[in-house]
Amino acid sequence: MNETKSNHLLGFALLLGTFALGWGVWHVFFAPNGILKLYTPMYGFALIAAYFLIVVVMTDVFGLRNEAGKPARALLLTLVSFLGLFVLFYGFFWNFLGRFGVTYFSPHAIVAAGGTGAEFYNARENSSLAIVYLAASFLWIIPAWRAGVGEELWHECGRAKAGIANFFGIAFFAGLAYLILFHPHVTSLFYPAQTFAGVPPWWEGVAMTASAYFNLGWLLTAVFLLLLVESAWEGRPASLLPKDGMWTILSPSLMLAGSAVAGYLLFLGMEAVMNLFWEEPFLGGSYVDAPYFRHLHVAEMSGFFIMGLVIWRVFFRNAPGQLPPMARWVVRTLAVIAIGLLLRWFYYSEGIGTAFLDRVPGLAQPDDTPLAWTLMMLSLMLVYDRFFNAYLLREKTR
Amino acid sequence: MKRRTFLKCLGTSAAAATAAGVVFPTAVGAQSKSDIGACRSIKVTVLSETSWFNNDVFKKDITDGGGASTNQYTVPWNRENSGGYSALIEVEALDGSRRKFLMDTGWNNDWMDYVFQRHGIDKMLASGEIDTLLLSHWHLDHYWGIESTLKHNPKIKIIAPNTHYPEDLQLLKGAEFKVAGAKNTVPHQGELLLVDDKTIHAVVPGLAIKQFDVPILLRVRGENVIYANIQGKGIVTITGCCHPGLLTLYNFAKRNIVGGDQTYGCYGGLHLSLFENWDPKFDDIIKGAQSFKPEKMGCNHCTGWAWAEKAAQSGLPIVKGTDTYKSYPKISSVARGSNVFLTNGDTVIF
Repeated sequence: MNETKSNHLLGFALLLGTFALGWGVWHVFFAPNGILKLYTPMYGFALIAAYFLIVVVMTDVFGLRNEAGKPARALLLTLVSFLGLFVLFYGFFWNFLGRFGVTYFSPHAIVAAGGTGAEFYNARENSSLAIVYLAASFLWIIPAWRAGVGEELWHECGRAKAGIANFFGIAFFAGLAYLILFHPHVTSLFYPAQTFAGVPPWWEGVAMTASAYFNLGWLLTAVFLLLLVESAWEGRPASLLPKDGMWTILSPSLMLAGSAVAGYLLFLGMEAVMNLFWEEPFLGGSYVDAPYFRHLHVAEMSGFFIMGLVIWRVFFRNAPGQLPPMARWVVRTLAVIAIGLLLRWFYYSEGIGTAFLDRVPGLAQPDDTPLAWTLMMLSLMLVYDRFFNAYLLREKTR
Repeated sequence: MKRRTFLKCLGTSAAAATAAGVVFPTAVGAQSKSDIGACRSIKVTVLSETSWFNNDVFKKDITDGGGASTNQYTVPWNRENSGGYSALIEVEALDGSRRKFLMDTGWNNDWMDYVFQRHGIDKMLASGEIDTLLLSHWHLDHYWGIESTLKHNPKIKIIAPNTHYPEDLQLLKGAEFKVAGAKNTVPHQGELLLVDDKTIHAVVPGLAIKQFDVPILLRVRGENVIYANIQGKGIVTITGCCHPGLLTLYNFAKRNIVGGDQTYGCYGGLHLSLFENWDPKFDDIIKGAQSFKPEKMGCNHCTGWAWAEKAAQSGLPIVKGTDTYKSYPKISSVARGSNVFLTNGDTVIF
């Protein structure tokens, strides 16, 4: 057996190990009939999204990685990420921003405000949805910023200062994206809708729904495309953009706009495929007939594809490495799509995925989204790859 | 080019569709419409629509029990808060003869015993005037009061969705789930007809059942929906919770039932602002419902008063209830003076 094949077998074995670990984490923390039962669903989903965001910010914005693979540093980074989750979720959102700024980020503040349906369970689900949306905004801006700015901006200041500067640049755009794309949905979660705080959902005419799942759908396809460019296509075409002078602003702006347009086109394509199988959705339809579900399902498909991308990069070393560039990109893209479709099949399969994840069989369950599981798995893979430097796998190939 | 046309063009040319066949298995094929016959009228009496009396207590039970997808048989429910959902359906055939059906059998046996005695259901069951129970789905508040029905007629025919779990059938055969507080001491001895999601099951002319196999709250899946075709008026849906979605049901009738183009109305829980919460998708349903032009919408239970009020304000023909419910020993904590619900003791005729 040659070395490449041997590495891929090891990668596959480690991938299976990650799935086993994921099963354990899911059943301890999230599964509806598990131990802590946090997947209610939005509360657990928001915790996962917030944790994933923390890992991405730590590694991609602040460059906190562990290339040397030191165990102590790996454990420290993991510990910091968990502490960060508690600080962000319960400290920043629930007890700071929610109490002193935007009510809906804190279930306690929502309950204190009173009104129709304002009890803790609803309030926690609603505040969790807002946190998921804010995390999604960041997860779009971060790769676009990275593709547009690269390592150029403020790099002479040193890693910490550059990280802080980049973070605030990203936070500005992410905040803006959140306010425009998602805030109108969250203000509509209350009865009556909080129209003085947020405009009625402006996308309703084109989306056939007032739900911001429409924006979540195209936004996550944009994220997928940005990550595809970065990982499978080795940075092309983003790497062709200049990064100096005025381009420090223009490049990320172009990446944002370009990813939005490309993401929206892919979003339309995915919805067209769904229409072939489920006919067209209609205003007010439910389950697969619901426009909001179709939009959400595009986001969910993007989640599967992003997971495919990370699996291919981490566990299969982003193969192949020897072919001409165009051939490499095509092979990787096809591999990512194939893995994404396989993951979708796994998640919804009654015999395997349903039992594995303790979910109710069937599609379009309003209280279930595969994004929670995919983001949890992506978190585990990122921690393994970046905090633990792909222990065993990378060491072997070094 | 309109967005929908663009989508169609994209869809036709999407090469990915071939690969996607593996993961999107429900391919659309040619469909022929089913003829379910017609009846002259349907009368529905609300025996009980108060499955629980306090929303906050019920939600706390769900949250503490593990959230929306947890197994209902493992949750220590607050028994004092439980009531049940049940309705009496009277079908008037075209020749004027009448047939009675019991839809669902509630949750708390004490409450259901009271309700059945108040409306004479106990005697109808014992005499065989009601010989069939139409179970909409296996949720606790629609099914766990099974003993209240079986104690009067253990041989009653039951038509239910085939999407049951082992615990559901154990309870039917006689079992107790102590943690959850579910108990049945009278084993079912009659026919159990389990309906799959492939066919439309005719009950009597003008009345048919279609099962929609959808995943729903508390690990339950699948709901039987009653379709009635009222001669000269159109289709009426009668639902326990309407988990598949009212407009999806109307749309199904349009595509699959002779006469389904004409929507007449609905009765039952519509599963919308269940906990008096709100979501923009509820606005979608109000707007979408207008396009089906229903003439009579009787709703209650998991519809949510907030949705029913907003729907009535938006011009949907919500049938108003009465204050009869106030004469029951318990009333819902969210009942309001707007009477947009058909509540306990009310009737509606289609």
